[in-house]
Amino acid sequence: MSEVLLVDSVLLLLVTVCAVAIIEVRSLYAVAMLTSVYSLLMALVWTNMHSMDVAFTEAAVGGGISTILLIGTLVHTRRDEKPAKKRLHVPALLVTILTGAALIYGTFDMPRFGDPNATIHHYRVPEMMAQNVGFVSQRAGKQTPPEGFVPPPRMVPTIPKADPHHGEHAEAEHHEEGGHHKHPADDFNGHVPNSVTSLLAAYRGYDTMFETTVIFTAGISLILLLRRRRDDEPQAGETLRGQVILRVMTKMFIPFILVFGFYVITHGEIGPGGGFQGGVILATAFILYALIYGRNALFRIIQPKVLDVLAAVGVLLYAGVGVACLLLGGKFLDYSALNTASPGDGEALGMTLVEYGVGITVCTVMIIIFNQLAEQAEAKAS
Amino acid sequence: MTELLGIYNYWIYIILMMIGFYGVIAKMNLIKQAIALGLFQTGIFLFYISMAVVDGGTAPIWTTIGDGSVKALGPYDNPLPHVLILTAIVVSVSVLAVALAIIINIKRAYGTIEYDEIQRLEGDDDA
Amino acid sequence: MLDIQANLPVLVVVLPLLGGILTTFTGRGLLPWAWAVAVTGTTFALTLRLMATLLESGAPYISYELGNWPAWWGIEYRVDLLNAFILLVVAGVGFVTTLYARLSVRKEIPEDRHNFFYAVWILAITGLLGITVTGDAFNVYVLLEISSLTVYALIAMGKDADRRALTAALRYLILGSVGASFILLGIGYLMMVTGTLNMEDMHNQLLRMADLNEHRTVLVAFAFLVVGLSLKMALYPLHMWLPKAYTYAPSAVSALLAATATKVGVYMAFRFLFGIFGVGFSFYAMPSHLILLAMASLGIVFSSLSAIRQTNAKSLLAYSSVGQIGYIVAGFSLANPNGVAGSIVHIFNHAVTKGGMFMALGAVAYRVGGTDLRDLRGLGKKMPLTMAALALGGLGLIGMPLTAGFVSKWYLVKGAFDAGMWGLAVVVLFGSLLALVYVWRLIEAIYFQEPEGRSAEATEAPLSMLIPIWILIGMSLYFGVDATFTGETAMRAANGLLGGAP
Repeated sequence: MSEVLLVDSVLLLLVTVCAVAIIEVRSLYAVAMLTSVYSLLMALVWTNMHSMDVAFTEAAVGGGISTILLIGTLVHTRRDEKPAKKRLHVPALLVTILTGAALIYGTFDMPRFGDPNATIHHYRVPEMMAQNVGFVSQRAGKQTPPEGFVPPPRMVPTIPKADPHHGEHAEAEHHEEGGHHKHPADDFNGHVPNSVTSLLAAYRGYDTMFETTVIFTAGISLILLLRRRRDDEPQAGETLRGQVILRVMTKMFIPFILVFGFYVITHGEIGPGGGFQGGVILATAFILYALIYGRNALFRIIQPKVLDVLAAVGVLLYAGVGVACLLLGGKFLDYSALNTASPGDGEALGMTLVEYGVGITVCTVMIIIFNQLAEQAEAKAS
Repeated sequence: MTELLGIYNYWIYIILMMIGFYGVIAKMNLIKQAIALGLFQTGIFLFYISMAVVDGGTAPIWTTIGDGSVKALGPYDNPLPHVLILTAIVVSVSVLAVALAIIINIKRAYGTIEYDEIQRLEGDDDA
Repeated sequence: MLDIQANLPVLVVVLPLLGGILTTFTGRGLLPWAWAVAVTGTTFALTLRLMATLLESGAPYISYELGNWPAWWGIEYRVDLLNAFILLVVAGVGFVTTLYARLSVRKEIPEDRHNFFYAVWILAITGLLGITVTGDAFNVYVLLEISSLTVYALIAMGKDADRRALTAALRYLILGSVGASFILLGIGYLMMVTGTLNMEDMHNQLLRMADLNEHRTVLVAFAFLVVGLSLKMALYPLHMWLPKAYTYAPSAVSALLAATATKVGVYMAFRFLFGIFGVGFSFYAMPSHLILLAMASLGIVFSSLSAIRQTNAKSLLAYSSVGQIGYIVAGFSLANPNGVAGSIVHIFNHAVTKGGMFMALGAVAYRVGGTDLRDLRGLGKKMPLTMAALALGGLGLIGMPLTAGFVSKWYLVKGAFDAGMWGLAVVVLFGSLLALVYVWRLIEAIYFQEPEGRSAEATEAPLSMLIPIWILIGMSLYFGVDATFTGETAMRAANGLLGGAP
């Protein structure tokens, strides 16, 4: 039993307890706090499974934004769930047991947890991890392979099943591949060290564009559903200005939060992080400011209308990079078209720009969401 | 036995998913339903991430070595599921936000967020 | 410069995406609507050109690799006859409903947020187009969420007219998300055994598996995808969200949804069942086609019976939509050329017929203020053109000869005979009989009762509504008489699907 599995088991036990509590506890504020705890435990689970980017996102979203959302909603709904007539809902239990049994049935033919021979580790992913998809396929505009480059045999799509050691060989092979050259002739003019980012922003960049669109859609849906008729009117809200400690600490913290946010956006290709996580961190700085100094103070820095515009600007930046590639004669989101002299630099430029696009939209939409919920709360108070 | 040890891990995710699924069906409180939906989705995310794990693997981030070049120190976990789940997490928080916005509107329109009470009020609307 | 021809597959999605986002900048007044018309119109033109390009090239499909990454690793767009056809339907109906929406939206949505409303509206169409054109399983999920999220918000916007729109939207949100989660789970199980996300690559990987038909992971993936897709396309008995959502959504939104949303759900089922799993696995390895046929038949009968009991014309049409999905699912479950072609033709025929009918009811809501059957009384005299469209659409639902509905049912019955399923042919005919009853309730109210109450003061719908209504109803009549284009395209697409090409 590997240590990953061991730690995993302990953590998952806690997570499960937490999940049962979330479903059963009747105080909704307690539930909101428990979801936050749940998310942080989840972040630990994911760190344990070496999925740093997901852990980071979970901590920022689940621990931060979701909790703010829930509390913001509870302010104007109610604090407690109505006591149920029956403790256990039998039909629901039956449905879940059946569904669960079906899912468990499906696990029997799965590769075991952590199996290095699983198809998914061999079939298409190795080229993505080695970041030589472009030259394996000899694509125009992607970098040409170095002289004497022979595609490793595992790139021929076969499913290794018989040879139990196949996986280790394959791994060893592509480490050597990367280690040999100072600038391995890959698609990005030197590797993007964080493979997750290279997949996110390049190979599957199109998905990420729509992920940003989903966030944007959520933002405008909230405006559509919650914004009050006359949004220009200044609204007086309660502030915590009187709390000296909070006030001073906030002012001290905000610059660091902002710097960290920008750091996370920019360094997505080197370490965990990227536009999404960085955007959420940036947003927390603004939300913290609004919580302590009141939303009017926030609006003096950044007006709601500006936020609406910026939310669109982020997605437009992302899609705009794609269109720029089209205009320069490449395919949509083929960043290498941005710099024909050195396609690798074009790739790097494109990936940086789209990360900023994601960051801008995520940051502003998070503030918009907070804003709309807070506006409701104040509308109720007055 | 070792076979079971290899896959029991997935079962925990399935149990987690089903706790959420149960909440979605059984709970009358709308906010509870929305939260339970989130639990259900995290169960799925866990399943994806766990298929990325490789024995002895580490985070799929290459290391910069002394002369500034990058070097791979494997074996690595599979980054593909990580990327998919990043997207899915973003989607799930967006859905949560829209759900809560609708719930706030429901509270304003009906004065309650308990599904059975709402159904009673809707029965009055129909009449 | 921009090479439109070479980039058509991606432009079909990216143009409305950019257009939708830019709509938020259009401010107030007429501009948001005019902009939306321009965007959806251009998109429709692009889909027409895409169809023409595909037909001219004579190739089985056009592939477009996003980011110039090879399809197996990156994301691929793949346009064959089937999705080119569905793209035409979605973009075309999207354009016509946008054209129609102006007055209806002005009446039902607060003026200060028209720009956001149309932004969400266009993004919904973008999502549907994106699902249709993609060849990547996970990309389907992401775009599915875009189209769902936007639709939840659009339905909830009916809240000012009737608060039940909110609960309908939330109900759809919960069930829709459960459905999407099932789909995500199915894709995950499939990715685990195939190691790829590209649909064709998945299909090939599955074919390479010697124990495919006994592989438990694949079986469970199949089951969960089918349940998730059934929720999304509102296949009986997983249709619970649909009637209320269609009834309480703003009029224009009902028309858009009824014409496109569930149809794209069906399209996804085509891609997953025929494209990824393959005909052999989906329909012959297990009795799954019998289960689908049973669900479809039950859906046709029971939802038509429910439709007969409704007192609101919009819910009557909504229940009828559930029944129509039954016909579509029954068609492709036969897995023979006539059945599948009937299913594809019916996607088009039902989209134009139901879209036109919901728009006509929207005109009633605009002039009379409600869509109860009581509100329709005597409107045959007050709004003759609108009501004629509604009645002709109704005839299409029954499947009268010379309407488009007849063509699809003809194919369906032929398909049923080919498969030796006499029972299904009987169900189809019985369904038409039930449709006759519920359509008769509409016609009775419209033509055989005297105007009373609110409907007494009604006048004919404005021209800006009548034209779009008659475009769609006119198409349902035209393609009922001359079904060469729709029939042949559907037949070729059906043969492509049955040939196993994803």
